[in-house]
Amino acid sequence: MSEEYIRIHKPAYLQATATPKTPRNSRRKSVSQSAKKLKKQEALKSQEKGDVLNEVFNIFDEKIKKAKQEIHHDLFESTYENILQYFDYYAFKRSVCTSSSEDIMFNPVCNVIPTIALFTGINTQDYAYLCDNLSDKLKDTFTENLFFINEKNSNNIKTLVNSIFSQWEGMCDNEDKLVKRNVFTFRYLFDLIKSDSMEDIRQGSVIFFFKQFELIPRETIECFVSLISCHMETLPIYFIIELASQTNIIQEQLSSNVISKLCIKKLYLMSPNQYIDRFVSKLFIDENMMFKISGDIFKYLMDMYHDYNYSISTFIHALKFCYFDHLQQSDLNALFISNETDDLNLFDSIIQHINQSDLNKAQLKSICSSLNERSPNMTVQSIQKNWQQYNNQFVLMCQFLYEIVKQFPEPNENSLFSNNTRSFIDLYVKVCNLTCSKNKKFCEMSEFLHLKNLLQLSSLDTMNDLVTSFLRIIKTRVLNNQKSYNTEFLNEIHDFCELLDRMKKSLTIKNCDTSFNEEEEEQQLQAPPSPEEIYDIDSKINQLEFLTTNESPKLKSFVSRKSSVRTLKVLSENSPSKTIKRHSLAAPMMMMTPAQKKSQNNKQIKTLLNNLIEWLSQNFSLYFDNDFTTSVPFSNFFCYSNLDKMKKRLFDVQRLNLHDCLLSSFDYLKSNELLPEKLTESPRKKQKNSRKSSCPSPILDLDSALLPINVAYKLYLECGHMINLHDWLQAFVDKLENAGLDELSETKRKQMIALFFRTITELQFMGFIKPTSRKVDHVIKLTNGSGLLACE
Amino acid sequence: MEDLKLQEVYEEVLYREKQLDILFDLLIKNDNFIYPILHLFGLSGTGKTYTIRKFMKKFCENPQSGKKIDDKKRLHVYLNCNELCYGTTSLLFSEILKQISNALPANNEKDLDDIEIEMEIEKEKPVDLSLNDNFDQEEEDEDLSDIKMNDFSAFLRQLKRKLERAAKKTTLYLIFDNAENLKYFSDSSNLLLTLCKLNEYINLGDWNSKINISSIFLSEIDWHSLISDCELMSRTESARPFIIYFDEYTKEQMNVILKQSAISLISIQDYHKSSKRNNYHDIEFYTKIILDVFFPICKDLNEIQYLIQIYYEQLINSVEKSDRTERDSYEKMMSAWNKMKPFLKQALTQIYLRQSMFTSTSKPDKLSPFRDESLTLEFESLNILNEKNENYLSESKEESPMGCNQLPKLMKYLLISSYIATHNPAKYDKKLLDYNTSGKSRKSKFTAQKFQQNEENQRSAALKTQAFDSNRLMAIFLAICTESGYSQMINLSQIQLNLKTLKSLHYLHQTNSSYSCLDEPKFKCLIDFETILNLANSLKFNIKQYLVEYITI
Repeated sequence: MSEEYIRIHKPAYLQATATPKTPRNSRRKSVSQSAKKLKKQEALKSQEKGDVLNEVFNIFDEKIKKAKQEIHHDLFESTYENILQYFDYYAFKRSVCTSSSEDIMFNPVCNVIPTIALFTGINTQDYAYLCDNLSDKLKDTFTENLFFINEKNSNNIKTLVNSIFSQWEGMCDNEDKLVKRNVFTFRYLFDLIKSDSMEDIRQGSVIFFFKQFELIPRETIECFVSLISCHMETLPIYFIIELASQTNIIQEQLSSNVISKLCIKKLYLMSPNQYIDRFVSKLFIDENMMFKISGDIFKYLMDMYHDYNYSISTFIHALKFCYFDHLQQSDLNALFISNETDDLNLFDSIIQHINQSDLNKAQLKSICSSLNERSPNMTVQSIQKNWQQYNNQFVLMCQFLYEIVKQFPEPNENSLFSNNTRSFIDLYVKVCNLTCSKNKKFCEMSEFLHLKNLLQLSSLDTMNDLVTSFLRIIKTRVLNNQKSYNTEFLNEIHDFCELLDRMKKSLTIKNCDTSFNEEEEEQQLQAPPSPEEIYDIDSKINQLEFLTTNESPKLKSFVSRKSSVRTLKVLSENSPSKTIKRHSLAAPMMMMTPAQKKSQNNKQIKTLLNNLIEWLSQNFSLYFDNDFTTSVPFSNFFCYSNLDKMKKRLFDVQRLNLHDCLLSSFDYLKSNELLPEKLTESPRKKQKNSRKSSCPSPILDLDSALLPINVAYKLYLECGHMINLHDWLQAFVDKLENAGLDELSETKRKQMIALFFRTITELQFMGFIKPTSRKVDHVIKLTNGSGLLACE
Repeated sequence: MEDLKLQEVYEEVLYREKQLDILFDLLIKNDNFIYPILHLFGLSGTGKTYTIRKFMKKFCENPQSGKKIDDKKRLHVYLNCNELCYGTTSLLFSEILKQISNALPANNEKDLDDIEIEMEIEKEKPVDLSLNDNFDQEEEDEDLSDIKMNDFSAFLRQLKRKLERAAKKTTLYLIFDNAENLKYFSDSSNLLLTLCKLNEYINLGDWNSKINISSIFLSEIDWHSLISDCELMSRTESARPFIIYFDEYTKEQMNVILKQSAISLISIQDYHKSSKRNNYHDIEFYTKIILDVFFPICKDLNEIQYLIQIYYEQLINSVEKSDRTERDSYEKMMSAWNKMKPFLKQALTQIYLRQSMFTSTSKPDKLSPFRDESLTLEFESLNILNEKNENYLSESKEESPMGCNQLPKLMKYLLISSYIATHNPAKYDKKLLDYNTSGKSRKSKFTAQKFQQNEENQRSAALKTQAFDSNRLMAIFLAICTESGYSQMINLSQIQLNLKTLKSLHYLHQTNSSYSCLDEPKFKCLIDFETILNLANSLKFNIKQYLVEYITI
């Protein structure tokens, strides 16, 4: 009997650290050596794999860190300069005051504490790096006397003074100056600083840095400011206050007595939208990042950011999780091999073969193994290159689309290209998400068709803007690094460039023409046109052409053109006016009336515009119609697309899990298929499995698979703030037995009561209810929103 | 001689002749008797501190500092009770002694050594409390270094000794600024009344004593409220102070003072410039306009001086640019007024907020002569940098006119729903938020209904704010979200986190203690209607439709 009760298990976490004992059993000794070896090798392999994973992961981690730091660095520079300038301005004024031997106390300029209110936005831990840097630099360049005040050290004025004392102790070099804590006052501190600084404007000042101002108690701040303000005469004092979001919180929190001591300058850091845009573009667009996440995950993460928390650290955490999960799943470590592009041409044929015949991973490996040792590496490199090129092209297309969308604001809010599209990144994410949803193709979407119509109806000015922006993008993105694009794509871009050139030219002519037409019309009223004037027009056109031809060769010279067959074809198909040579174009125009010229030019522009639209829609459909995670060969090595897993792991659905589990435990344990028949056949087995079974019920519905705790929880959800235990018991019995409590036999009733109390004790243990002294037969419900959980 | 001094003070302190006269009569005129208690009383920004400090500075100056003991000496000690009130009385006493010994010429170096005062309360040695002890002077000096200053009698003894050493006939003025804070001293409730009787105590039993002490209290509240915290008995026994009232400046008086301070301001701003006289005429005009605008809402001289300081550059520039002619004409005034209008409008909304208008343009053009050249160079490079970087900041400024706008979307909805929950009685929730989705919009349903009799009740109910629990908040939140077209699934655990964030940002206030009620925390929304309206507008959400105050049910 006693053994049963005294059996105490050692907890698992204690056993884990203990050294494994050598097995005494002789059978274990006789395990074959080969098996052991195998195990060892496996362990080694897994260890190696783990190491490699770690390394690869660290690279990614560093990239993220770098992107973040770059942003913070830019931000830090500007903030620092601003702060310094503001402080210097007051230091200068003060120096003038003291030199003119005026009483500083009564000077409105010097009788204030210059304060910088640094608005960091909510979830400020993202700015920890920035604040640290700021304090370091201020210590270096401005003054060493920088004290921090945060939530932890400012419960009351006493703890605050204590913490400042300890900070000063840390700073103080000279041990003679150190005093006991009870002699330390601000006056003592300031006198000391003043005597040390030798009247240097910067060194002889004190900065107090309030971190997370909202969390510091109001009384403490008020005491502190009124204390400090008594010493404004002795030393210049500056405050830097780090705030989350409310602009006037300083004024709202503190009394006017205290506020009147300050002079506050607001300094905004980057808004959260700008921050995430910069971060994403740094990580995924500007740099050649191999790893990508699928559109739906991207969308989900951005939504989490914009709708819920504005926390970049959560975003980064999610990215890291995706990457790590992805690395663990894929065998081919394609991501971490460096991008060497030497003598790839040897393997071009093989790669083409691979690309054409959509091989799976095993086949690829077999091909690779048949080649020499370097070949898998090379193949991987070429795949990498292809992937990179594809991505670059995708981004370029997105940019084209963005330029068009920018021109035409959409009134409808929920559409794809609405006004809510804040930035390029926003559109990029939307497009990525669109490719994932397989319901509709991009080019068949009503929004895109609408956009096409708008393009066709657009005015000349907007067209001109569009064309110039396209040219600019091509120049900056494509021509500067042609290696990162496919040759076929480069040819296409070349065609596009030519088209744009032609368009620009005709647009400028048109603009020029209209101005001439007006003049001419006026002249026509007065006198018939003289041949000289016509000559003038001709010369002007020539000039214009000269200008445009001067511009275009620059562009053309950059593009290394390999096959121009396609270009000619496209142009000949779509633009009949193309064949007219440039200098021959001028001659008939000279002969034509202005109206004719206008109509012809219009025609030309229209055809060019049609060409442009066709080119764009062709390319958009090529890139946006299909999901790049599936359509591009080998993309699954680079792209992570398991949204459900990420959601489940990262964004706190534990509560929902608990709720699910309590609602139907068998469902949760996924043993549902086994359940109904078998359980009803053998209630004993059910008892064994669940340890707290309900009595077997004759009906074979889903309710029969419920555990008592499920029933109790369901009833719990239906109740209000306080639950009457007797009512609960009655409902519980009714649900389980389909009979009232009074109708049951004596033993059955006792059983049911015992079962009920065990169940509610479990609920109490889990923290769902608690007893109350107000009403003895009631319990208080402790969780809220459980009913709403069902909505999720 | 002293009349001359008084005249000088008149020139420095404008429009306080009456008060200065009283001060002079009570404190200076008759050396044999000075009034022991004075109470200077008036609102902030009426010049109490300024007057008394200038007055004391003038009359307590000691030009000659010979080693010989003077016949007559006036000392003054200025104590800001704001600074001292967080300590114990020992801090106050030691501060007084310290200031006295600093003021005395260093004829007796021993004195300075005495000042190292231990403020510890523990290990207190028994001290002989009799004031008229016949100890040898030197013997006493040794003892004094150990005396703890939390002992009032010891303080008195020290004080007396110091004053006796200073001169044959010494007068001490103790000025307690912000005397309201005297009641916060942790270890003495009757400190104020004790300080009132200081003169009495120090001369106790010593008929030959030639020490006079006058305690001067400066406060914004009247004497009765000042001593209201003291014990009743001591209150009734206490001596009455002479009360000097500082009335508020009139508009004309303020104009003159402001003009003077503006001139001194210019001398700081244009320290390096030689031509400043030209501006003086403009300044009068400028201060006049400022006063016309702000005097009705703010009579605090400090605040208006601050306004002049921060808007100085913009205003003066606009005046200068408008017209260079020296003549004062109506057109010139009008044009200047029109140019100043935007700044003044802005200033009206920001009065008392103490915001700085500092921009990169308002830097001093040249630096003062005593700055290094390296610093000058640094300054110039800063200007260039800042102009570059200003775009960085200006972008975000445009985006966020209100602070709350920089919140995530669902947090905004949460804030709005918390506002609705706070300002609507719970009984209207069902009518407002729960309606059948069969196509009838709620607005038409409700506006069609007639005005009910209980409209007044509704209004009065809406004026009260009520705390809400998170269940109710969530119900309102979900209803609002679905109605405003947020179609995605809502992650409630994140919403709970957001609730905590809002609490820490002081948008919400938890009404019940966070420890006692883990289960049902109750909140109240602290945001005003204007802010919430801005927030709702940014989401294109019509909040008035959901507030009982604005619709009739």
